[in-house]
Amino acid sequence: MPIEVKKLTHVYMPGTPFESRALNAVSLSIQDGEFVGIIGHTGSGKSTLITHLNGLEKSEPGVVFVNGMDLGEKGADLIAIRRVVGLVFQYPEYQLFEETVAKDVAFGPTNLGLDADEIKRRVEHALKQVGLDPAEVSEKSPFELSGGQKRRVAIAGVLAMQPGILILDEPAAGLDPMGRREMFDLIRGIHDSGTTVVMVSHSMDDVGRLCDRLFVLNRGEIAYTGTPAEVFVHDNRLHAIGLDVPECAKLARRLREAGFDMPEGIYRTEDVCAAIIGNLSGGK
Amino acid sequence: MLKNITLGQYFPGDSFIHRLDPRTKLLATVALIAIVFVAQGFSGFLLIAAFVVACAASTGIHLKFLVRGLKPIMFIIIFTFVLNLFFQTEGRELVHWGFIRITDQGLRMASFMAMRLILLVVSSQLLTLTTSPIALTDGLESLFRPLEVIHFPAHEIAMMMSIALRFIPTLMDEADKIMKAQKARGANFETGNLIQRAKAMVPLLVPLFVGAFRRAEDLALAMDARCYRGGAGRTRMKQLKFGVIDAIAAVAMLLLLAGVIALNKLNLF
Amino acid sequence: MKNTIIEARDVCFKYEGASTLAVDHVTLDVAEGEFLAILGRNGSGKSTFAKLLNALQLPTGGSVKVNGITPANEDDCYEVRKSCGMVFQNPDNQIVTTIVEEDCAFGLENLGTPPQEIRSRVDEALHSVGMSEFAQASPSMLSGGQKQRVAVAGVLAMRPRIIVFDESTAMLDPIGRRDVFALARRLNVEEGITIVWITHFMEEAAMADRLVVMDGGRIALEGEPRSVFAQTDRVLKLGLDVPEIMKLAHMLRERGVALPDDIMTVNEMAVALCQLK
Repeated sequence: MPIEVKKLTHVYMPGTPFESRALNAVSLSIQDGEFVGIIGHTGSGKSTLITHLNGLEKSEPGVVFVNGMDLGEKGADLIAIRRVVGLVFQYPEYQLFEETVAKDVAFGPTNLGLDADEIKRRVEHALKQVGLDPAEVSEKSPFELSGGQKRRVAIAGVLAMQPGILILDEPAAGLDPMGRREMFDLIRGIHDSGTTVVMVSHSMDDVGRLCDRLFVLNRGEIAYTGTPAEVFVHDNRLHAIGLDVPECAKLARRLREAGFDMPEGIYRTEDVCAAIIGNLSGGK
Repeated sequence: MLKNITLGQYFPGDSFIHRLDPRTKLLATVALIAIVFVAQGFSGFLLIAAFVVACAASTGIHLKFLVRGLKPIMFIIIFTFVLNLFFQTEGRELVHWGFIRITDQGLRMASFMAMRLILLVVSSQLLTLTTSPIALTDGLESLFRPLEVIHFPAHEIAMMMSIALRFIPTLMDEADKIMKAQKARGANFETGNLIQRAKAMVPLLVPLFVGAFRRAEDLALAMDARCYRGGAGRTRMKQLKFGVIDAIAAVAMLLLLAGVIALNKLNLF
Repeated sequence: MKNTIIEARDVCFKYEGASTLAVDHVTLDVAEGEFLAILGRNGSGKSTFAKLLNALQLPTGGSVKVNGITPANEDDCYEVRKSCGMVFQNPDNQIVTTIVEEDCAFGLENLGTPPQEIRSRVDEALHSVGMSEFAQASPSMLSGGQKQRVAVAGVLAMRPRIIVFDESTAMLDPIGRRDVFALARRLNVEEGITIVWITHFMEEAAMADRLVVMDGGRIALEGEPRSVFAQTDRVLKLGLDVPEIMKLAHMLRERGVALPDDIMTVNEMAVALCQLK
């Protein structure tokens, strides 16, 4: 289920004094089964970009394709698109509204027009996918859960639509370190089960740890793209556009400049550790 | 979308009317409404209309905006006009067609009512276009303060109004976000009959209200933390002060009233 | 020895209807001019503790003395809040009015300060947080970080001796986070304001003078940040994180590299490794 974006431009409030260009000729493609990170700071256009990927914002025809469907085409089947692309917004727990967790998770599948048995099966499956026990939480009100649990329920609500592509906007925002770790494990699990994942973040640490490939957005344009290692090579330029590379990538550069033999773009703690050990034992 | 709804459509500027004390503008608007009802002939209305147009022109705000503001209430104006036209049966008959009977008196009354409504709307619009919402609430609070003697909660009402103004854009934004999130889950806000559409609003309204309560709790705490304990003993950074221009405005209003009364007496047309 | 400005003695707090204590026998002194960070998971009691510091909540056991006052009645609470300001988590939910400078004036207006003085103190506070050019702006047009700076200015105008930041960076992007932290640090160094910085970001906690780690309503660890983070396993077990460089140092030590105990920054690590080579 590939995503194909060809020169997407988005202008907010065109023709008014508030006119602003959120996206400028952005092109990208995402393959089936990839785990892709989109990074950029606030106002870089990343949120606008993802709303285009499931037809919430409409583009010109021939610009955004998902799974072969042209999302900009007149009369594009929005339900069909949402069946393919699931979108989890920032702080998704603020969209919960039903009396019970099960009913809330069922909202998406119900809108897809599925039958009751299928919906029930999907709700249970989705709750398990986010690490919740259906028997325990199904009949609870979503409003009596803890913050982290609420967010899981909200994600389950999107997973229950069984999209082949899942897009998450800052899924770990506001969580504490343990909550972040658990959230990332959960997302990795979803990816491992065969879903294409697109994660939006402003933390290089997080995307570096999880994603296969990154798109760095700056002022509505793609500044860099490639594997984390390929992107982190540009550490100075990234810093200038308000993004920071992981601490260990910084250390690797410092050591390289001091004469250590460190591979380019190295950033994982374990890799940096191994490289340092190699240098120290080799030097003796 | 939702963001395009503008409330408290204030146009910043530095004209004579902009610089007036908000209390002056509030009182002048009330006075103008009264004068509109004093007028008994076309000549009077013409004078008032000329006055209002002159005021509007002096503010630098395009007349187009004032006219646009009339659109939402056009229906009411036409309705009032038609009602007065048909149900005033005294006077010389102009048209008689079936059960419809229009007299010269009816036409006159209907035109007067329509003009009163238009002048009323335009002048209150002039008030909101030239006065920032915060100045407006300050003005109201100050004007109603004497009523606190009889336990009228002037400060509390003004505070509520200003908090509402502060949070309208925030809640609009939030509504927009929730709507997008629910649409991503396949919600449909656009089609269906009235009942279906009303039901479709539930996934939008519940989170919006829950969010508003959460914000209200946070805000109450934040206000406590900054030593808020009601209006008693509070001072204001910006003191409202009447100046020379306010006196000029008062004289202008008096002259207008005198003019309208004189025209009534002369009974020109 | 500097003056103690906050004295918490055996403080307990229990929410109505709750079965456990949200704050459980906490004893803690904060010295005047200190930059203290309180680190903890969500639900560790750190935010409840913050509310006890400026009398938004009163302890259900023990006592909290702030700037010489142990609040017993409403007037005391008012006095405590005057000297101990607070900046909250959600930038949107703590701004009261529709114009930036009016919001800054809010606290002083509540205190009954004369108008001319409010004017000069508001201008000063906005200047201090770098928001003077936005004095007439509407808060809804500002970024999260800018809103938090306005909130700081509103507190600053009241000339408090202590400012409590209750997870004030949790909802900001990296740039906003850096900005607001730097502002707090500067107010601490330049104006001598005591800062209590509550957070779950270890990068921020690492830059404080002293660090308290809370867990289950109690103080779990306390000390200089580097000595707290040096207990890597304990900190990770509490559901928190340690700076990446400390993790690396931990790994390297396990592989027999003789590194000093308290390495925390990229710079320190680079220097230490270069000496080893």
